Amino acid sequence: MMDVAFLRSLVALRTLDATELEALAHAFTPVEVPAGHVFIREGTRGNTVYLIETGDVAVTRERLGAVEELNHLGPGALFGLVAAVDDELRSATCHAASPVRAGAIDRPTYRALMQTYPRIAFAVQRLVAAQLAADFRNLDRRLRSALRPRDA
Amino acid sequence: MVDPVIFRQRFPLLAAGLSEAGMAAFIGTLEERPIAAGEALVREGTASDSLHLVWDGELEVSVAAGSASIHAGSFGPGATLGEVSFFDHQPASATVVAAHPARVLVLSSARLEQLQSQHPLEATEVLCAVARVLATRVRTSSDRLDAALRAETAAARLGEGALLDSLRALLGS
Repeated sequence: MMDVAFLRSLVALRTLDATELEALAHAFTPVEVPAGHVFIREGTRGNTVYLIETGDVAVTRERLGAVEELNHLGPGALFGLVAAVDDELRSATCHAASPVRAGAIDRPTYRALMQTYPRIAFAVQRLVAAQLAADFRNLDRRLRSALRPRDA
Repeated sequence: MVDPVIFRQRFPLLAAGLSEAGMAAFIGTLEERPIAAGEALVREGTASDSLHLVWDGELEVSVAAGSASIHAGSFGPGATLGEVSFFDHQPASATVVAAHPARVLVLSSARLEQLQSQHPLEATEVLCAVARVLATRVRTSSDRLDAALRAETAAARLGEGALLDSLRALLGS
């Protein structure tokens, strides 16, 4: 299980009581990996979502032989969301940029948790949506920066 | 008054997880807002924390690129707008103007909280549906960034005009 105190520290989960935080902590499988570990590979199938407790995760894509970093995530961030939400192939590769401690939750476990604890479902779903909004902002910033006309 | 049957037809993704009672409760949280032709629903860079569901009419979305304004798409009945600011409470990333008289249904964060306290399952279903819209936006943006990084290399060889053309092509205008 994940550390309850860590979950309690997340603003989006502050509406949950002790019992609900305990249930959420149990639903996550703890994962501890060295730097370089690949959690998710672009183009594969999978619906596991990860919540970073400590360390950094790089989100990358490989195009024409070059690796582009789309995002760099730290403690409190979720990754693996896009494919878990839309059930398509993984949209990017996610690897540990440092030693990482995280919690992993797959879709069947998440669905079961949602049905038993509606308040957890709402709080976690809001966390999921907020992370996707942050991911979009990051990509939007990168896109604008890539296309900004430069001084000659 | 929003007809639940028409709502289901226009917003199948949002309606999918809602029971009849849940649908009635959800519709009860929405505020109808008419927009005159040429009026802005949202301006890029200004505060916005509401989700907008396009009920009828047509809305044009544009983003600023230096002194230019780039058309980023037209949205009609069934489209949702504003979902990014709805969750991160940051300024709007684009300007939305009505091309023709339009009506949108507005869901504020406060109203969603109210719905959650009385109908937690329905409120969660709404969040799940909006998360799917966001996931699509993230995929689209990732693809655009890929294309932009490739175009940047090509445009660097061709000059500044090509950069603006690249942006127009990427945003679909």
